[in-house]
Formats: sequence, structure tokens, C-alpha cells
Amino acid sequence: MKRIFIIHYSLFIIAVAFCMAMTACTPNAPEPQGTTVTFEESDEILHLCRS
Amino acid sequence: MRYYTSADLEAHANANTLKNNRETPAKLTLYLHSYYLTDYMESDIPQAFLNRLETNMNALREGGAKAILRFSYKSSMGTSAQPWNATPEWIHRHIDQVAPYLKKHADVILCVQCGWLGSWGEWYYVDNGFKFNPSRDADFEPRWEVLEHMLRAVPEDRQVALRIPAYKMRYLKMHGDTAMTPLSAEEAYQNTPKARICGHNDCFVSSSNDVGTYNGGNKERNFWAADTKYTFMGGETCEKKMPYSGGEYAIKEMEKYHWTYLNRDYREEVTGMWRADGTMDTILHRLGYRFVLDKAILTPAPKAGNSFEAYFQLRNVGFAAPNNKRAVELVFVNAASGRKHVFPQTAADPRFWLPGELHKFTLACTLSDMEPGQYKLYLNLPDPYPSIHDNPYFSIRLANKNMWDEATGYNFIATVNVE
Repeated sequence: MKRIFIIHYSLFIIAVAFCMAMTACTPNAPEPQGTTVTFEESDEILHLCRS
Repeated sequence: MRYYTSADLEAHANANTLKNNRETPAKLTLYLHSYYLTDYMESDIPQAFLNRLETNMNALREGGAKAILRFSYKSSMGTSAQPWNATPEWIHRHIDQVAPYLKKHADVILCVQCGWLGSWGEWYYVDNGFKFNPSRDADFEPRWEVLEHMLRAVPEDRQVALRIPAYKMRYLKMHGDTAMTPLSAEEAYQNTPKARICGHNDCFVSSSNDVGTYNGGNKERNFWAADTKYTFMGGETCEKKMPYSGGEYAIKEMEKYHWTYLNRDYREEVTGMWRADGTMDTILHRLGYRFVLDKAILTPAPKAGNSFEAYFQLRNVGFAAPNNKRAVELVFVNAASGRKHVFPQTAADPRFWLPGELHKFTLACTLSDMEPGQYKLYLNLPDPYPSIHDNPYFSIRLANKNMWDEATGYNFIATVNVE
């Protein structure tokens, strides 16, 4: 019984840690609040300064 | 990219030609300046030749273009053309002669091909103190001395290109069975040979191994595919050999090896085929970087003297990152007075805005010394060199509609009311 509890508890901790890591690292982290501006893509060939 | 030899440079490389070339459908802004020192294999480079180099670099700056440079001695691999290069002593002396010009004009140099050895400076048909088909470490030593001299002669913030991946791998002791470790993000853009050695492929999609470019097979291909995330890659085709020269395959290869430049004129039977089937149009859209801004989220109701943040989502749909330094600035222009407030963003580094990825970042500033009022907010991506920082020819234009301000080189984001 004790062993089962330890295994379940460990799995729970791992799952929590995984979720926390995903929240911190995910590219889908919440965007900031503010005034949103969107832009339209151009299909024009551009002058490139080639950095 | 258009290829200019020494003779072409004498005839055509002036600022007006370059400005006119910017307005052609291909919107040319990049040239390979290939200097042949055939007449000076056993003498100093005369001052008149060096003056020509200076004139050409000044023309680039005035004409809104940059160059890839290469120095070599012969443009033929025939035995009648031997010797194919000068002796090591003369090569080192010649590098010392051109070095001050490379440093002085770094602002209009994209990168420098290592050159000097062999026909076309490609390090294959070599003689005169350099070992043809080298195999032992000692065989490579004279070559590494030239490479290291070039790394010193070329400004620290510019890369030096080697013709095949095996040369960089050998120099960094990654050849044979040794583990291959291409440049990592942490190592990129440092002043180290590993970060500063890039590549060029002058037999692009010209056979199954690009005519000896990848003699070592997949290990070399994988090395270049990873290394070129942070180093320049470009060149030309040298032969039409299907299916390798086909347009779709070429685009996949340019994606894989992060191409920034292509000689549009050579070989014409390949580039002409790409023009006819529409491939060249895709290539012209995607060579180098191409930044598309999708969205910005701005601090609502910003107040003078307070902090301001602009969050951006940007995609790079080009083949490559901009591999040279690039500044990032938020610019506010007062609608009534025209007064400009520039906020440099030193933490932002577009060299890491890699292709095929969505980039999310926040730029921030304090609106100090600003009066309340209406402002136009711009994202400015100028060249960091002071000589061309304020020249819109050299500022990055985002691939979006209704954003580009041709007079300033700024990208318009929004009108902002500062309270």
C-alpha cells in the first residue's frame, strides 16, 4: 500500500512538473494584454540589404 | 547576386549602375566581386589596382549594394594556365595589401570567400607550394595558414567562406570518424574560427554530390545543413544534370542549406530553366531572410514618462537568417512637430530570427523626454554601421503591405496616442 502511494505520488509530482515546464516554455504562452494591430503579408520581391 | 570579374568592375561598378540595378525586377542589391591578380603573381599589387578596389567599395555604398569578395589568380583549370596560384609568400603579402581595404569597407561587405588558392580561388586546382589532393595533416598546413591570415585580415564581424564543408570540418578536427559538431546557437556569431568560417557552393545542384562538394557524403551534408543556420551560404550552379538541377530540388536544397545568395547568370542553362518554370521567382522571394510581421500588441493608453512595450509575432519565410549584425529600434515620430524619438533595442538580435519559425518577442522603452500627443510608431531595422545606419537602402523592409517608409527605411506599426 505504501509502495503504491509512493508511485502514485511520484507520478503526480512528475505530471505537475511537466505541466509547469510546458507552461513556462510553450510558445503558446498567453499574449500580453493591449492594443492589437495585425498586418497583411506582401508577395512583392524585396530589395534585400543582406544585412 | 550578380558576378563581376576584375574587368567587369573596371567597366560597370559605379553607383549609378548599382542604383539602376536595384530597380530591375530582381531588385539586385548584391554582387560577387571576383578580383583576378593574374598579372601580379610575383609582384606587389599595384596601387592603381588597390585604388580600383577602393572605388568599387565606395560605389557599393553610394549605390545601395553590398559585395561578397574573392581574390584569386586564375580562371582556368587547364595545365596551360599553371601555376594556378601564387606562392605562399606572395599570397600572404597580397593578403596584407588588401587587408586595410577590407577593414575600411566592412560596412558594404556581406562576407569574403577565402579564395587565393587554385583556379577561381576554389582550393582544388592548386600548385606552387600547395599540395594538390592533400590527405595528411601536414599537406593542409599551408592552406590553414592562408585561412588564418584571412580570418585576421577580414573584419571580426564578417565571415570567411570555404568552398566545401570538408575543409571546415578538417580544420576543426571533425574529419574521419571524429564526431561532427556543427555550430550551436551558443557558439554562433562569436569571434572564433568556428563561428566565422562559412561556406560557398559553386556547383550547386549540379550532380549527386554537387561535383565533389560533398565527397564525404551525408556527414558533410548534415554538417553544412546545421552550420549554415548561423553562417552564410551561397554560390552558383556549374552544370545542368537532371534531376538534381530541377527547380523543386533546388528550392529544397536552398532551404536545407540556408542560402543567402545565388549567381543569377551562371550557368544560364540552369538559371534560365528556373526562370522559365517559375522557380526563380520563388528563389528571388526567399533568398536570404524575408520577415513577415503578423501581429503587434502595444501598451494601451501609454503615458509620457512611463514604460511602453510592443510585443511582436514575426515569421521568417526566407531561406536564411541575416547572418551579420543588425540593429533593432522603436521609433516614435510626433505627428505635429515631426520630432523623432529613437529607442535602440540592444537585446533583440535578428540573426537569431531563423527561417521556418514564428518569433515572438517584446521590445520595451521608457517614453522619457516625450510630450503627450499623437505619434507614429515604427519598427526600424537599420544596419548598425554608422556610415549606412541612416541610409534606407540598407534597412530591412518587412514583407508586409503598407508598412515601408521609403524615405526613412522605417516599418510603420501604428498611430499611438501618448497621454
